[in-house]
Formats: sequence, structure tokens, C-alpha cells
Amino acid sequence: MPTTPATHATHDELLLARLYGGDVDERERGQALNQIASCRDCADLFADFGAIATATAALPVPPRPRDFKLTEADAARVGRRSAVWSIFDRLGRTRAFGGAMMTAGLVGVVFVGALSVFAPGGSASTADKPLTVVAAPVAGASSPGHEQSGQKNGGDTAIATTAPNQVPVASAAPATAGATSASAATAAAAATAASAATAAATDQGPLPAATTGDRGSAAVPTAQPAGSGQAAFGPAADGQGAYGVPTAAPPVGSLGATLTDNGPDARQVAFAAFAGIGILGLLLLTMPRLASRRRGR
Amino acid sequence: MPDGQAVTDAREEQVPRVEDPGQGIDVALVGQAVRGELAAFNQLVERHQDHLFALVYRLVPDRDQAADAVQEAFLSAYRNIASFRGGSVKSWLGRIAINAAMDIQRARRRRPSQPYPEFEDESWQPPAESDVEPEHQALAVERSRVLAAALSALPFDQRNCIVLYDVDGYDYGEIARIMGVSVGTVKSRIHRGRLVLRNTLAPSRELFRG
Repeated sequence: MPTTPATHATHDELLLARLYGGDVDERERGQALNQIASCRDCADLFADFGAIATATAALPVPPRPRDFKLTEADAARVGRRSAVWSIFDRLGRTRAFGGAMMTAGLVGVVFVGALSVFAPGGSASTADKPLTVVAAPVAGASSPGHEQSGQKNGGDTAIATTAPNQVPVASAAPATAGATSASAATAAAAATAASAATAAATDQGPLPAATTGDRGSAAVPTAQPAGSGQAAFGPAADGQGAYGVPTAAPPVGSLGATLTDNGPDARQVAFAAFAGIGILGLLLLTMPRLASRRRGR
Repeated sequence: MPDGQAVTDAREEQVPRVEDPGQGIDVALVGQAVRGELAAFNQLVERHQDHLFALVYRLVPDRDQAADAVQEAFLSAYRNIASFRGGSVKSWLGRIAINAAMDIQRARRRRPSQPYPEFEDESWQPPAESDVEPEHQALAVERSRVLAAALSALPFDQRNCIVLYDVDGYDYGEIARIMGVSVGTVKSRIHRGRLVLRNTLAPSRELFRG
């Protein structure tokens, strides 16, 4: 029997391991057996597989260090899961599912947000109206002194950039944030899931920018294409073209009025839906870990 | 010259698969536990804790960590007992325990402890049989120590597959289901792990002969 190491080096050892595991077809089996028959090292290798497997099975186990019975306190602490939750957990691998949901929600939020910025237009009912930011009835906000026409852009859109204008714009923020609802709340919630995406909207001052972003219009206080801007909190009077409507300011919570007037924007709905999915995913992702920590795992 | 088929067949004989005679009792106890009887669940614990600890100990090379994994497995079983859908209670508990062991292995991957410290600990050694010669007993202890060290040096995915296949007698499909990987992956891990193990033990191969 040839036993030179050089010869053995050319032999397929993995094939012998597969033979030992019964994972070969007929052709491979013949090849492996031929290898064993013709090479002492291969024969030793194959014999060693068996000896090691036997020794592994016979590896002694120390006595268990304690009794694993559950106490009443353990049972109360652990609680019981319903069959539905257990099945969901088992099939869905809750955390992986949560991660996927959060990712989908995040992507959706970013996509809808990008759509609002780069392809403004929104609903047809407001598409042709000038960009108008309405100061909510906050002290001083509706004072004529704070009204200022912004720069006209093709006669359609006015953008506020001057300092006095920041007062009503900024003061509109709390009113809107405090009064409205689904969109603002969703935006805030989305900021949790997609902080990077919405940080700019929430941190950079003029909240109306964030709110108008919801509606698919000017998300930042910079020049927008003519006709692309939409009313932030309510439809502007025709021909207004000014940044600020002091006299016809809608009541607090005017976003609701906007929805009533124009119907919900599909982007708003999509934004809210994606944000909801993201938040649900975040909860699914974090809750099992929090629960296990609470159990003192 | 060993014949491959003979060795493979011999291996199959080493792992007899008989129906668990206590299965009826287990199912009855599960039924009671589902209705909220903690005592019934604790009877299940009593019946299976030794087996589960032995199983997990080979996967988690530390007695305390293995105990933690087994405890976590029983807590998980209690929490999810409503999801038991028949079949072998022993296998169901085994799968939960293996998953718990793998969770612990992943969690402690960055903080590896000394593997199989019991084999280094003179205060605990396998119980000696009265009719075994001291020389053979010493040989067995040394073999266990060397083998445990080699096993602990394997990547835990390979070690888990080898232990489940060689020691606990699971087939490739069952291991794949337990570990959440394909059958091909399981086979590859076992074959490659077996080769690594043998090469690691090559200097001590005389311990495993005869």
C-alpha cells in the first residue's frame, strides 16, 4: 500500500468525511473506498473519524449544578404567552420581522418625503394656489406689522426670508404642533424611526416647513418652482401671493380644515402609513429585548 | 482495512431511534401544564432536566453557562407551552434547549470563558468504575480532556452540528431545522468540523485507539 505523504496530500480528505457521514453518491463512494484501500493515511483518517465520534458521544457530563424546577415566583415572572403570539413569534421571528418592517417604513417615509421635495404637486385642488403660510393665532402673529410679502417668484409663490417674517412663521409652529393631529403627530413619530430623515424638518426652525412637507409642498424655506407650493395650513385667498394672511387666518387646528376642504392628500396618507409601519417595526424589534431584560434574563 | 459501508452502518447502529416510552406521560403533563398546573410542568422538568443538561453541556462548554441555558429553556417552554402541537415532548424541549444554548453562545461570544473547566478541575472528574484499571481510568480522563479542548476550539456552529449528529443522533434535516440553516450547510459544517477535529487531535490519536 503506498503510504507516502506526497501521495496522500493529493487525496480528498473531505470526501472521506462525507463518506463517514453517509453523504456521498455511488461514484464518490467508490472513489472514497478506493482512496481508503490504496492509502494508509486515508485509512487512518477514516478510522479516526469513528474513534473520535465514539469518544465524543462518551464524553462525560458533570452532574447538573441545580434543580431547574420553576417556583411560583418564576411562573409569575415569566407569564404565559397566548398560542397566537407564540406561533407568530415562532414563524415570524419577531425581531427579524420587526427589523424588516422598520426598514420598510423608513424607506417609505424617505421616499414619500423625497417625492414631496423633488416632485411637488400634491392634490390638484391646491396645486395652482400660491404658497401661503398662515400664522396661527398666536400673540402677535396676526399683527399687520408682522406681515410681509415675500419675494415673488413668477407671481405665484412667495417665500419668506426676512427677519420680521420669522416671527409669525415661528409662532405658527406651536399652534400647529399643538393643535393638529395626525400629520404632526405622525411627523414627530416618524422622527423617532427616521430621525435622520426628519431631523432637518424638526430642527431647522420653521415648523411650517415640516408641516408643509407633509402636504407635499415646499419643505424648506427656499425658492420653489412656480405653482408648486401649497397652502400650509389652509387654502390661501386667490391672488394673495403674500407670505402671511393675517385676517383670514383659520382657527387653530386648521389642518383639519384643510383636509375638509381639499380631502386628504395621498402623500399624507402614505407618509402616515409608512411612519406607522416603521414605528410598529421598531416596537417589534425592541419589545422582545425589553421584555427579556425585564424578566432579568 | 475498514470498509466504508460497514463503518457507516456501524455508526447508524450506535444511535438507535426508539420511541420514547414516556411520551404518553409527557403529553398528559403538558396538557395539565397548559391548564395552568405548575406542578405538572415541574414533573416534566424533573423527567427531562438531566437529559437536557447533558445535551446543552456538550454545546456550551461551561457548566454554569449550560445550567443557565437549561433554566432559560424551561422558562421558555413554560411561557410557550400553549404552542406545543403534539409530537415528542422530549424533542420539543430539546429544540428549545438547543436554541437557548445557541443564544448563550452568541451572547458570550465576545467574552469567552475557559472551555470545559471541569476537565481541568481536579475536584470533579468522571466517576470511576470499580472494575476499571487505574491506568485505563487515567487514559479516559486524559482523552476526555484532550477531546473537550479540541471541541471547544471548533467554531460553535461546527461544534453544535457535530454534537447534535454524533452525540444526540439528530439527522441532517432535524439539525437544519433546529439551527435555521440548509441541510447542505449542516453537512458542510459537520464534515469540515470533523476534519478540523481530527487534525487537532492528530498528535494525541493514540489516546483514541483501542
